[in-house]
Amino acid sequence: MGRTSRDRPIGATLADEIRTALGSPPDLVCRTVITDEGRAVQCVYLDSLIDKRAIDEFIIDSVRRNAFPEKAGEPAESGSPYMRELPLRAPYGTIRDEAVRAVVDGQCALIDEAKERLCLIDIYDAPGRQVEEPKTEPTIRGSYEGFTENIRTNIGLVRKRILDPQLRFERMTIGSRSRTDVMMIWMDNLAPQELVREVKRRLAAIRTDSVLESSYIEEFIQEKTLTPFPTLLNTERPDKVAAQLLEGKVAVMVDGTPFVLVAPLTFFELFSSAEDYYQRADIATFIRWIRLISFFVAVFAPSLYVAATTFHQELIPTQLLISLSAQREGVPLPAFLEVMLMEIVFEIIREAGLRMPRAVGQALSIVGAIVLGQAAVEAGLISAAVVIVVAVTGITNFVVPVYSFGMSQRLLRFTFILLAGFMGLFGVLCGTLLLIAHLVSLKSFGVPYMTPFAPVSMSDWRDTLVRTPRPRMDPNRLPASIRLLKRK
Amino acid sequence: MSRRSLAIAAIFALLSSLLASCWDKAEMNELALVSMVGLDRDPDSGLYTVWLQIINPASGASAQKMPGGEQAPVYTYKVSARSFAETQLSIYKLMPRKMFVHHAKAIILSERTARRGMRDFLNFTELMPDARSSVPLLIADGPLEDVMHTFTPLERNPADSIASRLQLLYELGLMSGRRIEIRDVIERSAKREIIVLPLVAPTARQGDPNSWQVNAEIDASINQLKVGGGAVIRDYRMIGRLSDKELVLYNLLNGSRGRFVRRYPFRDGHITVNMKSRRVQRKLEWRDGKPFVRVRIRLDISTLTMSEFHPQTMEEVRELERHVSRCLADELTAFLESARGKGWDLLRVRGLLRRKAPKLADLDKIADEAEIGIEVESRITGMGNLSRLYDGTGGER
Repeated sequence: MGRTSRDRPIGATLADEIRTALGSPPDLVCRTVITDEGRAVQCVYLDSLIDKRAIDEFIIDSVRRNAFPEKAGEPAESGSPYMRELPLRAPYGTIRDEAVRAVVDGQCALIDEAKERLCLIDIYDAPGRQVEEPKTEPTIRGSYEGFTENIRTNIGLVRKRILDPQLRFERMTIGSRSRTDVMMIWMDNLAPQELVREVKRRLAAIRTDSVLESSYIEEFIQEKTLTPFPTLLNTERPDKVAAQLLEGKVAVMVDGTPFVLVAPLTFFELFSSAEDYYQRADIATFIRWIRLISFFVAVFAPSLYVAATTFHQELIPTQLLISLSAQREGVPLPAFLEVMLMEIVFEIIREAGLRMPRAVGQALSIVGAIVLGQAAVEAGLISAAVVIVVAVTGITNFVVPVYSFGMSQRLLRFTFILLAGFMGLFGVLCGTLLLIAHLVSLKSFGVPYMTPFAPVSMSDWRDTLVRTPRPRMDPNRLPASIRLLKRK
Repeated sequence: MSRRSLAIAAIFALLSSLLASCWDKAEMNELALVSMVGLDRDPDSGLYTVWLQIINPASGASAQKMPGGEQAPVYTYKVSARSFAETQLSIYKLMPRKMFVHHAKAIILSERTARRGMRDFLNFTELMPDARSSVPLLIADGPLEDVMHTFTPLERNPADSIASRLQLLYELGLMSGRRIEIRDVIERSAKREIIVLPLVAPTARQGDPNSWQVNAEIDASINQLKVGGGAVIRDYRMIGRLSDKELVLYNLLNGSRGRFVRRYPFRDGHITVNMKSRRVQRKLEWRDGKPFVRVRIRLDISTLTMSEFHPQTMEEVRELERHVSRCLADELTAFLESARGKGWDLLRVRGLLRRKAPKLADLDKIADEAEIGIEVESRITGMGNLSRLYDGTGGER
């Protein structure tokens, strides 16, 4: 043992094989450390994935000082998942694969020829952001911490908020090529076992080569694909995830993305923000209603404008009709096309603004919003009222606290404009009925999407339509969605 | 979704563009917004003449920066034909946009048309699916052509001006009622009950009222329209008139709740009382086999406008209340007697009898014989700012 069939030192051979298996990457480091006893220990790691300080100050130093267990032959049980020792006596293919995998995972492989041991030490520290303010869900009051791309940091952000031994984590590796770390989190005493089992089952059933963002997972585990509505909450706020876990929900963290998934999700939870619980109850209720109104404005305003101005002019108050009619004098396009055109232009500007560098994006928004709108009105291409409708719609679209729900609203808005353009209010009404039917048919991990309105649970309206003051809330009462699952 | 389902959905989406509603669509700038309609029928030739006042969207505040912002607020189109339907078609010889009557604020009939009967016009209106029966109907007191060719100051659109004045006259003077719309005329006439419609008349003319002189003229009482008085309508036909004073009493008896002012003799002089109707109840009773209609009116009165007398004690307050009640009751009784003398059942006793005693034969005769008792109960609820009126010789008393 300790020798390959070609009678070459196994340490050097293993190091070479790791190099070959990884295609001799520039960040692979293979160095030989000579211990105080004069033994040569091969140290192999990927320079880009490890903590360099740990290598220099701890590992190399420890190896030199011969600080590892002395007992030859029998690897020590470290008891830590971050440090494993394997005997080199094991079948060579297994040892090689293990070493290659460990190096790719950001571990340092120490090959001690003399003691016939392979020691794998997890000193993973990939380059990434520090904890910063969440980009998509900023708040005025409350924590400014947001998740990062590092799953370990993210676990810490949740853990420090819930210092309860009942907090459970389960790690999975998904993606045959990316081998992404996925972490399931739940409160053992709060989350319904059925929900935990179901999430586990769906995660385990995923067959894919890579998971680069939590949306990959979302698409695999959501109940219905053909729906504009998100059935899993995605958030980059640790406080929100902590609150959801305390309500008995299950979170799914994916390494490499700050967006954490939470299941189950109901429609009205899309209108509540973490800040609702940091503000006074009356203010939070008011803001929640503003969000509800904004949703209706964002989805229906352009279609109602098209329907009313094209088919049902009798519904418009006389003075407003005169004013709108005056604005439309000389406008060449029908109201339907006018609105469609402006909405598409607005979406283009928004999309361009997102992709552009921040400094340019600001200039672009000025050009788009002011110059283009004003110029189009003055050129007589569109009426001023349409600019107002599109602008109001655009602004109200950003009111919802969940970005993915904002995207759903955009899709719905275009559908309703089409219906209004073809069939007027009748079309809008038909669309609304279909939308309601669709919403009622949706489920998120077995929970009806319209809970607590369908099925009705009036006691939960106190945290749906309004936000009841905290002293009047029962801290032990779980939301209707979770109670439903527990009852099953 | 399978490919077949997608194909079917796509076909349906395409076919939806052929839905009938697509042909119903009309852009706002393709519509002629009718704000007021005038109607006259020449009894000799039988020719109908229709005036349509169309709102000019390029005028007014919304179009101030647009070319044409200084144009006429409305344009009046006039067409004549043998029937209403023909007038509707003939209008397009003059008008380039589709007539849109949903926003009409007033319909004015010439007096001669109203006196001959408006049934045909109402039938025609009700047959039209896009017509509205909630439009106030007025009778022109004077040449209808003048009424339709007059701009109004302040409210530049004459229809808006009339609608606004009808509302103010109701709330602040009780000189207009709530039931003056087409549907009310149809409903009352069908029951052979009387309805009173407002009269509108052109005021004295100076210069050319059909020009910018209207805006340049400081005297707003000339070259404009005046709403006042009432046309008594029975069986779709105008049968008489009511003065402003009588109109107030009529509206009060018919349950209108506006505020109004009356002047009554009191002690050695007069008092001007501000009143507001609270409740009007009509009750049918039988006395010696004859119907007796008891009308109970509850009023809130105030001394706000009473610069002649200011009650200082509770006795004086009660005296004032009793006096006002008595005067108003007498006035109403006299008014009703005079109307009944003309054969006008302004209290709509006939309708009350039909409702309460539907099996009665010869309803008209019994209604004519019905006794009417008016009871007014007034209560002072408002006083002026003064605790006592200023004394001195520099006044009328």
